Amino acid sequence: MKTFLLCQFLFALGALSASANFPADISKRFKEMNSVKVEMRQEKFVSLLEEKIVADILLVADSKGRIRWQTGKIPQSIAILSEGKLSRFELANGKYAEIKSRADSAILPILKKITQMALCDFSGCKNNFDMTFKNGVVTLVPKSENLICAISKIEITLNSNSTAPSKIRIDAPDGDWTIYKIIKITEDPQDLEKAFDTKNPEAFGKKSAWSRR
Amino acid sequence: MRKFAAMFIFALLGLAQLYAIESPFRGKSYSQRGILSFGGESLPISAHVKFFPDNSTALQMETAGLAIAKLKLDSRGDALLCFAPPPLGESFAKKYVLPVFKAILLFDASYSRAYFDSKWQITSIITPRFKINFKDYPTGGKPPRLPRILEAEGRDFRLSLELVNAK
Repeated sequence: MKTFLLCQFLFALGALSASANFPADISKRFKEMNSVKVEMRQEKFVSLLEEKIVADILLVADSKGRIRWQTGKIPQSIAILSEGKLSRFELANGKYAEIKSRADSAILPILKKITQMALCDFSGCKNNFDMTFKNGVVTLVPKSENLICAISKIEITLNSNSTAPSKIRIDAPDGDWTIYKIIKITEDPQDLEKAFDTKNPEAFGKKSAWSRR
Repeated sequence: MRKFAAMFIFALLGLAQLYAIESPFRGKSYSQRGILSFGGESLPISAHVKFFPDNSTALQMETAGLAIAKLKLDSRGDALLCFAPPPLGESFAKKYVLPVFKAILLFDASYSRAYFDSKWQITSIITPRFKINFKDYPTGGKPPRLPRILEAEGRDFRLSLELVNAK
C-alpha cells in the first residue's frame, strides 16, 4: 500500500498549485503528458537491521488510467492496473507467477486514485493530508487513521528548476524510511503497450526499458 | 556381531555429524524474495536477514514495501523481538515466522529430523508442524554454501523463497 501511495505523491503535486507560491508549471507539465515512464532508485533504511536496502523501481502510467509498478531491472515483482483490473506477478524459480490476494481489493481503489491523480484530478489528496511547501520541499502529514499507521510523513523535494520532483522521502512510524530518487522521467516511452500486457508482463521493463547510467 | 558393531559406529558418527552441522544460513546476512501462502491468501514477500557482531540475528519480512514481521534472535536462538504490525499481528509472527526462522537457522530443539546430501549439506528438516527443504546448492564457492531455494510447508501454510544476495 505504501509503495503505491508513492505514485499519488509523484503526480499529486498539482494539488498544491492551490497553495501560495507553489510552482504551477509542474502540474501543467504532467497534465499534458499522454504517458510517462519514471525510473527511480529506492533506498529503504530498515531500523531493525541498521541497514539500507536498495532497489530499482520503474513506474509507467498513461492517460487511459493504466499503471505499471515494477521492482528490479530484471523485474522481481510487477503490478499492472489495466481496464480496472489489478494483476500482480512475482518472479519465482525463473518464471512469473501471478499472485491473487484478498489484499488486491484494498490495493485496487488506491491505484484507481493514483490514476485520477495521474490525470491531474487531485481532489482526494487534500482530504487525506495536511500539506505545506517551503524551500522547494513539499511536506505531507497524513490525517486519516488508515494512513497514520503506515506513514508518519512524506517529503517531496523538487529539482533545482522546480520542474519535477527529484526525491521523495516516506517516513514510517516504526523508524524505517524510504527515499525514491528520481533518475529520469520520459514522456511517451517506447513499447508502451507492452508495459500493460498481463499475458507477458516481463516483456517490458527489462534492461532496454532503462536509460543508461 | 561385527556387522552390528559397524552399524553402531556408523550411527554414532552420523549423530556426531548431526550435532556438528550448522545451518548454512547461520552467521550470514542475506536477502530472499518469494511467496507466502496461508489461509487461502498469497503474499509476495521479501525477507532481509542481518547477523550482528554480538551473534544476534534479525529478520524483517515485508510485502509491497510494508513490514509484516520483525524478529531478533540472540546467539542461542531465543527471541529478543517478535513483532508483526496489524493486520497480521503478533500471533502471525509467533505461529509462523518465528518457528520457521529458528528452524532455518537450526537452533536446538527447533527440529526433530534432518537429512543431508553426499556433501553433508542439509537438504531438509522435519519439525512436528512443518518441513523445510533446502534446494539448489551452488557447486562452486567456499563452504558453507547457501542453497538458492528454501521451501517450508506445513498443514496451513507454504513458503517459497529464492536467495537474492548474501554477505
